[in-house]
Amino acid sequence: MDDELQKKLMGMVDQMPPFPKSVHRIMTLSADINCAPKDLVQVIEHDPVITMKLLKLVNSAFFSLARSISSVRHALVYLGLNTVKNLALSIATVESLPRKKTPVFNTKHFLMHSLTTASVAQHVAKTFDIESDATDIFVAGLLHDFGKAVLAQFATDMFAQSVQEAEQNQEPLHIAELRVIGANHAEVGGLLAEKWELPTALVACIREHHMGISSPLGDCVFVANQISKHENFGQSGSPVIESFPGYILERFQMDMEGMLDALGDLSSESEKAHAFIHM
Amino acid sequence: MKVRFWGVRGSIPSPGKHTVRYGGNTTCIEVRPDDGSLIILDAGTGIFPLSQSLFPEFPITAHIFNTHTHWDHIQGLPFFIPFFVPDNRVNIYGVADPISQKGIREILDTQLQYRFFPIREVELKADIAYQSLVEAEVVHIGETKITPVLMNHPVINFGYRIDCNGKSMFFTGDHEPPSNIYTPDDEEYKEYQSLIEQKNKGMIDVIQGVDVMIADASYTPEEYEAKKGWGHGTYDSNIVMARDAGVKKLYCTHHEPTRSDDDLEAVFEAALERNPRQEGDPECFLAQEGLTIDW
Repeated sequence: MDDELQKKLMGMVDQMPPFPKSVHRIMTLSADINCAPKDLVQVIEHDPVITMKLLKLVNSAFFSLARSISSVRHALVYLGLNTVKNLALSIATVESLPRKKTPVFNTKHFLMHSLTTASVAQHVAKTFDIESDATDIFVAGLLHDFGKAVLAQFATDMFAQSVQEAEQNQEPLHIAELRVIGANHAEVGGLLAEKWELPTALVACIREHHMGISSPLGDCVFVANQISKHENFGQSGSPVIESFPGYILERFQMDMEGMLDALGDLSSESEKAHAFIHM
Repeated sequence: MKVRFWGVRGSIPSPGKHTVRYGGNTTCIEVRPDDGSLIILDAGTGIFPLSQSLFPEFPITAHIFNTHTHWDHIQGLPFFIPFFVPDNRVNIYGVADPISQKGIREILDTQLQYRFFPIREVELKADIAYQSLVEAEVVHIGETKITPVLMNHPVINFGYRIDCNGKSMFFTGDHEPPSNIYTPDDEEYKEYQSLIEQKNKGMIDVIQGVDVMIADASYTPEEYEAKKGWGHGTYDSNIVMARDAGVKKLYCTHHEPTRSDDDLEAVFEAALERNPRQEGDPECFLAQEGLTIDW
């Protein structure tokens, strides 16, 4: 990634617009003094931009917390409901840039892909007894493509060109991004997550999700990412469903077909995400 | 170490004949470690009588540690007389606000605005310094060590552990034990519970073994049912916490403003009966304005 692009992304990402529906719901819920904490948490943890900004803030030098905060619920236990509520409100209402509209990046499809990757990754971890906190896996799945939202917002034309070329060439989007932009979304998301001092396992998972590096968390997200595309849960912008590489086959002892069998019916994952987006 | 209570009431000052024994001022605790430092925990209305007691010592260096910035813990601050007398030095410590991102100086700057107070911060005569604290970053004053501990309240609240010369005390500030936002039939319940246990253990580890713990015991368990999420503990939750942390003496404070002295003694007595003292358990007391603990 060239220095100029890196500098531009770092400087502007604070103004990333959250998704309008989440903003509306956070405003509504937080205006009700009796709102159930779990309802508020659900809205925050289903919005990649608000989750990312919240994790950025709570892991920043400003708080200098003795431990790294890895999920919205983790933040809630450490900082208390009212502080998280007010942080979310300030994130939701901060003056942000207008959302850039591009026909190749449909917000709802992107959210659907992120949310189903998150919940399927959780399902994979549970089915195969992968040791990791469930919400951490959900967060990793939700944020694995955060770099795409950033590129769509701040390198709109080049990102649109990458999506088109990937489609034309039937190649993975990250390959096209590298050629057109000089950096791919995994690298961009990983760089920001690292800069914001997010937990190291989460940074690695975002950065390495196209690098063929194995880790328990990363492997669950890799599998979920491919399944989400295979099942047409939303759209990731990448036309290629990658086959399971050796280290994935080794960990789970099965290919995509076997995995789909092992996980069973995934319609509830898709329905929950769909219901949330269209609530 | 010497600890004196100057304000033991929660929420709002409660003067009157029904609170005359335990006192109506809001939170303020004077701590004198063995090295002679003057440490003041919170600046509720109790800080006004405290400040009058300091005249013979002028010029003084006072270290005010604010647990959190809710009214009842700051409302006496503009009336801390040493501010108005040259050669005094006042150091104010506390949490920066994560929403406005402003440091602890914001308390006085805001309180001493033209509309609310006749004197501005820049007009104060004492030498004033501010230090915004972060979790677990120890402050050293002479031979005394003060450790901020992140508690649970509707605003960021630090409890403070104070250690000097082998003696120790801990003040919770306002604290409600974190509770699970999920119900046992939610799939998220178990994981959230383990986060709570981790958080509780972190607090207990820092408090471990203090001689004196002063704690926010606003409610009885029955009252608490209607006040979940308000950010305060019960007599019972504090007895459990003090027991878990191997505390020697527990002083319950932040008395509910509508509770009369007689009622206070009655609900406290009932709490002790519900939690009979076993060997090694802390001795439990009610904090009372004017009470001094010296050890």
